[in-house]
Amino acid sequence: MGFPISAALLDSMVLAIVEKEDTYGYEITRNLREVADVSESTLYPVLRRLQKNLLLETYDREYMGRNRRYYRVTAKGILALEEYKSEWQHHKEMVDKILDQ
Amino acid sequence: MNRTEFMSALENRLMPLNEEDREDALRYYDELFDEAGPIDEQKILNELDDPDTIARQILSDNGISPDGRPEFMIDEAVRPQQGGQNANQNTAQNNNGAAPSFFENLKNDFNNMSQSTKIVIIVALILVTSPLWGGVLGTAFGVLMGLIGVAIGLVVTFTAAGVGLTVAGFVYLIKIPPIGLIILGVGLIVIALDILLIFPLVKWAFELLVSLVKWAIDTIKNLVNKSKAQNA
Repeated sequence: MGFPISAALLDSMVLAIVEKEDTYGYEITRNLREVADVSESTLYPVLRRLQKNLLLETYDREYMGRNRRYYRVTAKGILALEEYKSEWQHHKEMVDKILDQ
Repeated sequence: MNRTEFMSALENRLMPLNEEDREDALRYYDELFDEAGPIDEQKILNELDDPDTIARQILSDNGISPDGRPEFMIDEAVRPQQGGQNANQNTAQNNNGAAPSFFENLKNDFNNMSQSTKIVIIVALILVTSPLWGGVLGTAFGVLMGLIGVAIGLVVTFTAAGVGLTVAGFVYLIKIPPIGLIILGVGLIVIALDILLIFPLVKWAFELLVSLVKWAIDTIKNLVNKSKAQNA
């Protein structure tokens, strides 16, 4: 598969996964790797960036005697996700215009 | 390389970061190992890039330039900030009221079109709006024709009355001379008024016609000159 996943696409996929349900880094990576060839170490910069741009926030919850860091989408993140979704829809339609000929 | 070696290598390379950012990154990778468990430790290590690559990405994400050129991150790390600045500039423009209005945008769009597109648009506009100005133009034309009709009617009536009375005057002149004279006189007065009426009317109609023709010629000339100037 030769389609590289852009940073914007990665951001939107991460936001979509976390929006569905608050979750932690390892789980997000597993979800992503089901659909895309994303390396484990690509994800941390994405999560950190989303967090610094206030699209994601974190909280810790105890699990098996240690703390697990959960991610949650902020209100700003939900707005950004909506925008990403409509942009992706538009992008997909444009590409399909050519591919579906 | 095992988990401990990986973590200390990463920590060493993240030293330029502030403590909060470094702790956050280390914690994230530490948690990955926890989640995978000791059995899958090697599997995670294989999936991860080496600590050096990871550290470069994180450093450039935080605006710290590591040695060499980081490929993935520099422009990705810069992009969100740029977006923010642009958004702010736009808002500032709106606040200043300097943002182009809807009609200015429309005008710019129109000016950027090719000559043939412009002509097509103008013709389409004329056709589409024809019911509107067609009615107005038709009404104006009707009023003009009506005025001309009234003028012609007046002239015809006055001429007929004048000539009729004059003829009748001659006839009555033989039968009852004083009444014949009166009728003849009235008839002559009417003919005189008629002539006084015809001259300004003819003159006015002629001037109207001349100015209409002049206006039409000027309009066409202007249009031709404009399109010539734009083509040049």
